[in-house]
Amino acid sequence: MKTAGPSASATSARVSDREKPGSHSFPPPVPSFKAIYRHYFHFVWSSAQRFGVPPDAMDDLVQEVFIVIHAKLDSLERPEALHSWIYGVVRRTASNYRRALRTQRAAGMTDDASAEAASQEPTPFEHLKTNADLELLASLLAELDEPKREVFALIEIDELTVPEAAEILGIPLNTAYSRLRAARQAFEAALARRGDRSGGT
Amino acid sequence: MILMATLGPKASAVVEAGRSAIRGTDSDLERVEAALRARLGAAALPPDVTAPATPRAIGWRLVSPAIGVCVIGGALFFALRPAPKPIAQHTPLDTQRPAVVSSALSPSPNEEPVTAPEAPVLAAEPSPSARPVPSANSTGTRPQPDQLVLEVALLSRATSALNNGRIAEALKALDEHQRQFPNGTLSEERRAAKAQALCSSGRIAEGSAQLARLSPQSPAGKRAKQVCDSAASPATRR
Repeated sequence: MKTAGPSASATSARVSDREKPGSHSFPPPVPSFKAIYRHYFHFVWSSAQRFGVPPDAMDDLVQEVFIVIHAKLDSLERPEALHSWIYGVVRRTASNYRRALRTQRAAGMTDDASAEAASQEPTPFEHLKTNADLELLASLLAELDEPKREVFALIEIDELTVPEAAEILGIPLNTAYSRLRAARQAFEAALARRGDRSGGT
Repeated sequence: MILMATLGPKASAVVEAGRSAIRGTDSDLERVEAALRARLGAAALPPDVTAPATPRAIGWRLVSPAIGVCVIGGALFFALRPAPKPIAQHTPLDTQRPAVVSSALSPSPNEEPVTAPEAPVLAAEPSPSARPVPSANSTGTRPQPDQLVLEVALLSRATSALNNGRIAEALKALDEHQRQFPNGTLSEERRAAKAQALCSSGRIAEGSAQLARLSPQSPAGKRAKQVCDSAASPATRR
């Protein structure tokens, strides 16, 4: 079984031992694990796909993501940032998965076909080019530079808010907005060029 | 809020088509949920309570058609038999017949799932399978703002006020949550916070009334009880 092996420190930035025994301070409300699972499953699944996790590893990886969430939920410090926290867990788990697979591959422990796709650095939709819609989207995204692509993907594809995307990327909110504006323009321009080309042939 | 141009319709359609193609299905959700339940235990992911087929319900399923057949048969017998005063005698039967037939075909009331008014929060939440799942070629609009995040933000404001001793502000935020999300995912947490707010401000009876609506086993209920017990103890009141 392929496991992502999430690191213990992966989520430490957002958690703390804030709840002291005997203390009457009221911790921020944290939804139940089941509510979180039901609410965020589709988001986790599509985000993992976008991070280049091959289809045959999706079940294991998504399980690992929710196991990390389950383990860290009680000590979640900022429930209001749940969406971006979960996104961060998916990103780190997918990254760990790829790293583990690279290591296995280097050691000759696997020659699985998925190793090829997963050994690449995040290349949005790289392994998913089996679908015309995805292929078009992937090729348009490939025309954006990395900073624009990141913001665009987080907001337009993963459906995070601009403040959430800014937090994940560690950039000021205004920068996120201006990058998003530029990314949308670049995406529209790439799509228009594609239309011109296909119209001219 | 910075206003900025959104994607045009064509670009939006491309993005939505791509997004839909990588979205998990409900069967993915159920399969992974079952695997997670096996790994984490049913306490972490309790299975949905979906109106189990109780012996009573099963009995009614068997008995109801039989009763229906008997009633219809009886009705037909009375309807078809020679009657001395057909119109006057048959009027009640004629008006009842459609009701008898429809009740025989429709599910017995006993088969409907029984939900307590204060059922666990998740029971009030629509099941994922009930939610619309965009099809692969869907070009629908973006989803509504994340309700859970809005709930969390509102209750975070309340608990922050509560922890800083601003009880009135906390109660205001909790009332706002109740107004916006009467059956929200965090209803239990809202009641717990309200119980704590009321007890902390000396309104022990009202706080206890809120506590009574909480599951004593829930973490939020336990915490709130601790606060209310402490507020009600003579040592604290002195």
